[in-house]
This record gives sequence, structure tokens and C-alpha cells, in this order.
Amino acid sequence: MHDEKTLQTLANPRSPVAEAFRVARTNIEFSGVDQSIKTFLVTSSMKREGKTTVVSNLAVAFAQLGRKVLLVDADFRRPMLHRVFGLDNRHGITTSLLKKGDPLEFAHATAVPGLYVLPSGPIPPNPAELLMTAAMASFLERVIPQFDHVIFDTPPVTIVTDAAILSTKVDGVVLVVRSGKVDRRLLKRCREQLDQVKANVLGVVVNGINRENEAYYYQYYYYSYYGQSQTPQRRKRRTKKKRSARSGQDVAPTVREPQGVRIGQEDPRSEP
Amino acid sequence: MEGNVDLLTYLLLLKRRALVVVLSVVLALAGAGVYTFFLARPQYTANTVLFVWQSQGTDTSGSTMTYNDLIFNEKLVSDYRELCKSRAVTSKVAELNGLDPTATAALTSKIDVTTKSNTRLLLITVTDTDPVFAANVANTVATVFQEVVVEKMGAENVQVIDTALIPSAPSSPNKPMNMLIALIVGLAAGVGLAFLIDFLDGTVKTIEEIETITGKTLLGVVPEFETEG
Repeated sequence: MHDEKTLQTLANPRSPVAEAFRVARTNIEFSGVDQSIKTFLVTSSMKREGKTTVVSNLAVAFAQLGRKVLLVDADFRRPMLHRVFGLDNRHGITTSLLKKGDPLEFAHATAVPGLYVLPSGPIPPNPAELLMTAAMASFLERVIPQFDHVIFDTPPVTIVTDAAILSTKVDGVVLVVRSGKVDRRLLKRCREQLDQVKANVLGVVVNGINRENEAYYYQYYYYSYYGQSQTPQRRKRRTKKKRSARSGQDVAPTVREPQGVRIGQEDPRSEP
Repeated sequence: MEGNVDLLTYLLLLKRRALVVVLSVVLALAGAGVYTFFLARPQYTANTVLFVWQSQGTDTSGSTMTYNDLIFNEKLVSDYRELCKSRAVTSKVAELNGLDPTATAALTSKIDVTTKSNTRLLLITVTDTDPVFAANVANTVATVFQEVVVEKMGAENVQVIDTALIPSAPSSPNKPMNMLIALIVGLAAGVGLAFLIDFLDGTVKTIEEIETITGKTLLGVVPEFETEG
């Protein structure tokens, strides 16, 4: 069973937290200037900044738009995704990469329609090298066309090089920064390291903002209501969709057919 | 707008560091409280009031006062004020109160002579831990001073208006004042400390700061919520 406390977008789609993830989702989607952001990874400068929480909720938020989303745990150092989604981590992407078999053999369908999660699998002895192998390249090549979005959870940038390596293979990088946690110099170093590999940093998701102690919180929200308001729809649908919201069915303001999904590949596990 | 945000930022900083401010105020109040209520010995103050007039011209009320008279009066009062604390007076006062007449420094420090502005009244104030002693000294200063003026200056122009009464309540410590000062000092120190701690803490705390350091677009702001990890 998935972790309801972490997956606010699923458990409480009307909460301000879920709203915040939807705002982030919208911003990520429109952050690519001349290309749509199909694959991206989520990282942070240090551990325990809330990467996994953010990436899980973003993935749910994208899936709630009716998209087909694959969420991959590429944090081979301290894998956490399987815990959030209550999955078995004995097999995962590392197993697939070593076996060079079906890349989606160990992907799991989730409670969110359209969202598939691929756990990390056993921790390999050489995580960074594994990401640079031809097997990884062919994994991406085979998987990306099957989904609207492929999202990666990665280890922190300043600790290991994994995220920097993977950043060169995806459309963009989302940096999670926990307020009141990261030292200024560390954050600067993180930025430098990402710039060095010419990672396309889409932007920053600030996590753990204390609603009462943060001056910009309100301002930002006023801005977001004007900028990409989902509020009016939210108000209207509140009473009507209360029940379905609780069961986590709908969230998307506009449910549309996912693009680029070929019939017969709806469930990655159904493949031989 | 900018200014408002800055003020709000500072207020929120104080809210974030409220514990430091509260702790500082509590400590200051506790310190002042211990001092005021347990350590400080109560001091008693006794007063005598003297009137000084011009001896030349038996009665000034009828004649017109000249400018020189005014200046002279002012000088006279100033002279007498200093005379009160002269050794001629204090050694005699010490002797009369059973103290060593050669060691008058401690006694002198207890005596304060002030003039009431624009009057010819001298106010002799004596402060001591013993109310009876304070009153006695205040009274002896007044009488000895009167004698010394006659003896040294040959003028009989000092009159005691009020003799000192034994004070019933201590004049110090001033409990409400001490606590008020402690409150203000504690508050100021706490606020200062809060800002210092916030400055020394190197972590990024505002969204603006995060944007500046990373130089990247803000994609979203996620409020704090409890997770199980």
C-alpha cells in the first residue's frame, strides 16, 4: 500500500500541498522554451530535502492529467520510492540493466491510473558507472517512447555524481531545496556542479515552507492564482467531486487522451 | 511593497527566533528580580530643606531687586551647596553621629545637595541603609551647616525650613523601575541575539535567497507537511 501521508496529491487532492504540486507540475510543463519536457529528474543539493516526496507527488500530478507516466528510482544509494508506493525492491531498474532484458519487467502499476513506478532494485556496487553504460542508454531509448513522461528520483548532487550524469540524458532537472536546511555555500556548489555538466535546470521547487513563518508564501500564492489559476475550477468542483476526490480518482482539471501512447502498451507489465 | 516585505521578513524572523527573545527577557527579569528582591539592600532617603537669603539689606521685599542681586543670589546658593559637602561640615557631622571625623569620604558620598531651580531653597538628601541614621545625618548636616555659615562667613542667612523625618519606606531599590529596565534590556538583547543567530546560521531560509543563489526559476513552493520518511 502506498504512503498516504507522503502522497498528498493522491490522498488529499484538495489540500494546499496538492495544489502546490499541481502548480509546480504546470510550471515544469511550460518551462521548456522550445521543447516539451518529457523526461526530467528531481534532485537536491543534500539528502533529506524531500526529493522523493516531491518527485512522487509530481509524478502523481502528471498522471492525474491523464498522462502515462513512468517514475524511476535512480537513487541507487538510498532508494526510497518503493517505500512511498509500498513496492517490493528486490528487483528494479538495476536488475533490468544487468540482465539487459525487458526494461519494464519490474515496473509496477499504482493506485493512480497511468502511473507506473520502477523501483531501484538491489544497490549496485558501481551506481555512477551503471548510469553511463550502454544498457542505460538503450533502457532510455526503449522506455521513453512508451510514456508521456519519464521522471527520475536521484541522489543528491553534492554527494554523488549520479544526478549530474543522468541530467545529461534527460530534458531537464528539477532542483528541490528545503527551506532552512541547506547551507548557502552548498547550494551554490550544487548549482555550479549542475551548470558544469550543462544540465538543463528547469527551476527550483522550494520544499518545507512554513506557512506562518514565510513572508513569500502568501505573495507567491497570490501570484500563482493570477498566473495559472486553478482556483476557480477548484471551487466549482469542490462539492460535486468530493467523493471521487477522496477515492483519489480525478484531479485533473482537463482529462485528455495521452499522446504518443500506442494501444496495447497501456500496461507495461503486460508485455512479454 | 518592498519595504513591507522587508518589515514582514524581520517580523517573521523574530517569530522564528521567538524562543531566543523570550529566553532573554525571562533571564533579564529573573536576574533583576533576584537582585531587586533578594540581594539589593533597601536604601532609605531623608531630606532637609534650607532657605538661603541675602543678608545685606534686612528686607528685600520692599526694595527693588537689581540684576546684580539676582546673580549674587544664584552664586550664594551655589556656594552654599558646595559648602554643605566641605570637610568643615562633614567632619563635624561625622563626630556628632559617632563616626571617625577624619574619614568623611564614605559619609560625604551619602550626602547630596541640590537646589530647586529658580529658588533659594537647598535640598539636603542623605541616603543610607538605616533610616534613623539617614534622618540624623540629614538633620545634623543642616544644623552644622548653619553654624559653619555663621562661623566662617559671618552671615546669619540660612534657615531650616523642613527637618528630616525618619523615612518609613525605602527609596531604593525601585522595584517597578528595575523590572521595567530589565524588561527593556532583555527585549533589546533578545532581538539583537535573534538577528545575530539568524545571520550566523548559514542556511537559506527565504525563497528570494534560494532564487538568488541558484539563479533558477521558481517552479513551486510546497508547504511543510508531515511525511513518514
